[in-house]
Amino acid sequence: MHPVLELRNISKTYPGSVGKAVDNVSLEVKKGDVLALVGESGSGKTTLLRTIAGLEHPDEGSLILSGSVISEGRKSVPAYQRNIGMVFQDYALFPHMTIADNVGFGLKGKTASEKRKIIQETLALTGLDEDLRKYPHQLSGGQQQRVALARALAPKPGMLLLDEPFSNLDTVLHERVRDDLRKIVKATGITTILVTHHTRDALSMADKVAVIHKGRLLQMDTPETIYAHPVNGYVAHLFGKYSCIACSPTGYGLETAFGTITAGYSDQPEKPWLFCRPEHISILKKTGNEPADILEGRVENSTFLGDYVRIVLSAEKKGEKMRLILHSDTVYPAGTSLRFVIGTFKTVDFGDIERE
Amino acid sequence: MEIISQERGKTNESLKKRYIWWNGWVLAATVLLILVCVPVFTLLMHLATSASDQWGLVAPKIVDSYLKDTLILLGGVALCTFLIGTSAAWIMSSYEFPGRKYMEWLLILPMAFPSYMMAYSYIGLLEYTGPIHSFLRNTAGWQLSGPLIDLMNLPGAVFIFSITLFPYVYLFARTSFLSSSKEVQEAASLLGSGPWRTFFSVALPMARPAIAGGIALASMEVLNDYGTVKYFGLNTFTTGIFRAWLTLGDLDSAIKLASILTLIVLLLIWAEYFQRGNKKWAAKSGRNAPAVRLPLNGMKKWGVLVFCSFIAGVAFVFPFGQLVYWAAKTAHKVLDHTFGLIVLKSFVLASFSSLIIVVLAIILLYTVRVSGIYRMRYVTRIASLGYAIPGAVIAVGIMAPVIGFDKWLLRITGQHGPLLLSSGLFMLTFAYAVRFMAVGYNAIDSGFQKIGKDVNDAATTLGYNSWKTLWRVDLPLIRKSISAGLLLVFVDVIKELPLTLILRPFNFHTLATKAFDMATNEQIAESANASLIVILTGILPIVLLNRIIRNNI
Repeated sequence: MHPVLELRNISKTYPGSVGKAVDNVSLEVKKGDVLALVGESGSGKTTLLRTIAGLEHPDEGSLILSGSVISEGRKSVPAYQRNIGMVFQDYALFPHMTIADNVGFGLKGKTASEKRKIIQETLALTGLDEDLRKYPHQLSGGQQQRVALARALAPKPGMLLLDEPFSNLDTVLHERVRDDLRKIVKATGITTILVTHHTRDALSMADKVAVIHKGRLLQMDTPETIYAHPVNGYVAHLFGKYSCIACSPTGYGLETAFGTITAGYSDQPEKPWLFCRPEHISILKKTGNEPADILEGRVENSTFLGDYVRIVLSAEKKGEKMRLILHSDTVYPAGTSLRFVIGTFKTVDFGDIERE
Repeated sequence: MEIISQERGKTNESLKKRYIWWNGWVLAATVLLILVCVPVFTLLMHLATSASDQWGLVAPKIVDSYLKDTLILLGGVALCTFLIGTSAAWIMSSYEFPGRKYMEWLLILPMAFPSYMMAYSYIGLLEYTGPIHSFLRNTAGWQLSGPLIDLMNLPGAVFIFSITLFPYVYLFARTSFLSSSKEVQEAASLLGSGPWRTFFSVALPMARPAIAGGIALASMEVLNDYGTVKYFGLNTFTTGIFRAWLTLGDLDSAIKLASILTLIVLLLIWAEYFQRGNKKWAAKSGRNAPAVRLPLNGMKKWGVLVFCSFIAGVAFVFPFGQLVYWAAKTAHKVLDHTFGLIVLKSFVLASFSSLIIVVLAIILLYTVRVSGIYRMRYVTRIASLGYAIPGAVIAVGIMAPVIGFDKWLLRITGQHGPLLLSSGLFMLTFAYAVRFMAVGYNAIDSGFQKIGKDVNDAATTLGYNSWKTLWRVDLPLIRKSISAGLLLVFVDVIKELPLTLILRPFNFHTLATKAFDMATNEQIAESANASLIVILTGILPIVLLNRIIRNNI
């Protein structure tokens, strides 16, 4: 089956700015998938989203929506003919219209009763239970967002775009909305692209995550793969703490400053660094009945962070100090010697390695 | 690319041609911008052409009379408006004293006075039979023969302009004093600087761009004026243009003078722009806490009150009272059918012009909004340049091409009929549009800025094209700005004199030209009726303006 949306070599430069806002991005979105575009502010992810909506026009490349070309080179189908729904960062509700009028705005060529029915159905779907005659300014931020979502969904668009959907919500509301949003989107089966700079939102909401940096698409994959197998140091860093320690293959295993790993070693390509996430390292508390590949290091410092304790271990090899970050439930005094195993790891060669 | 579209999907019919930004809006805006620029281009082009025969009569007066009087007026008015406006603004924004609220109002009201009407009023106030003279003679028992003070000279004109135009500086400075973060001033006093030093070393430098802006506006009003300088018998560029066109009938010399004046104005704009530079240091962040005013006691309190009352009295209360007195005395002679018709014509003309101007401003700014063309906003700013250019200059700048067009039209149609464009009200409305576009433009612009672009984008993604979006979303949301724009332009047109004098059809009168006519024909008391209507109309937007400034800060 063809993808719902296809981007081919999309590039966009804003006049008067240095560098491309979007630089040669190609990607495909499957029907019913949720894709998260992740990047820092200014990375070009919002520009990419607006380009898909038709609010910005690419300089090069082509856009194919449901099998028809909607943008090619400098030719473009105007946004109002694309039938793509969008929820804006600040919701952009029409302040002079009631909730009902806002949600019904995109419904054209329908009778009043049909309209009313769709408005009620869509609002029920988004979980808003309010007087439809109220105006946007009478609603809370969370309610406004539900109206905005209902307004975008009401005309049954071919695709839904969400621009930073959580940026205006407080922490408590944030997580609830995140779960609700995924449920709603999955219930309608609509293909969705959302833009966010919170990696946690991307990982928990999306089927696929695309990392954008300086206008380029660095990696696009499932959340699990992005997290455990980043293509470079930037992606690795964006999604959380990690460790990279020097490793060298010997005949039977990977030799590191903390000891030698034998299991799974033969599957790994020969690369100079060993990459792992903190939660893939487990501390061995008792001696006896030990698994293979036990490594050892000294506690350099441990920081209590509430739901876990972050521990930095160090070890020396040939005069060079290596550090590992791991999570634990206990605070250890500096200098304690700890024994541990690494569950998931991979050997990498990050050109842009950022060690801590 | 070709391969993909063949392989993956049909070519979409609605795929637009090259250059997505080129559409009806951009076309309309481009035509509009060109039309608005016509007068200035005409004038700049005439700088280089050869002079007419009468130029010999006009040219010698340029340096020793026109330039001298104009520059002295500008310098004097700049200094006086700065002193009055800034001191009043500082007092109003820093101190609390009895009657402050009323003073806030009274100090803006002189803006409603066209300066020539202020001049008429003062001539009345100071003449032998006027109230001041009578009071000094009869009550104080002074022995006086000639007039008290002779105002009909340069210092007199500086005085008249200063008391009518200082509100520009006052308003700008007050806005700046109120908005510049109070924390900065608090920091200064914590660092040990007293109120005077805080004013001179912190508040005043921070307000400098705003004050300069106010002075620039006042200067442009001075350059625009015809009524006052004509009445006082001074020779400025504006009177020179009138003399060349209306007395000598020499359009070419009028254009030459106008183009020199245009250069002066452009220089002024450039100087204002240059001094502002990148100085955007007024209250970028920080709390805009409502200004805490220092309550004054004892002598200081009364001193400040007397100072403000004196300004308000001189600049508004006394001259306004004189006009009311005159109007009451002469109303039975003036208010007749003809006068009613003039009022009606004035109001209809002003309403029509303001409607056109606001519609054009909406077209320009909506194009900026939907076209997404880089720097389009800056380009459209050209349209607001007309506000800086004196009315007389715009008048001759329009007359030349329009008459030329009419002659060309007659030649190709081979008829000897009436002139198509140059005889009716077309030229006048066109000229108003050029001169007052900035007023409508700024009002609409602030409206669009306020509602943001997202609602527009939202409507677009919901299937509305730019035209439907304008009607359903933009216009309803900026309706307050539209009414403000309509009102402001309306009042400006009602007050406008020099442009109307030159371009009006034969025997056509507005309130402003009628007042001017009567005053120059020794019917100064009778002219007060028309003046009063103009001034009362002008007070309306001032009431609104003051409310907006107070609410926004």
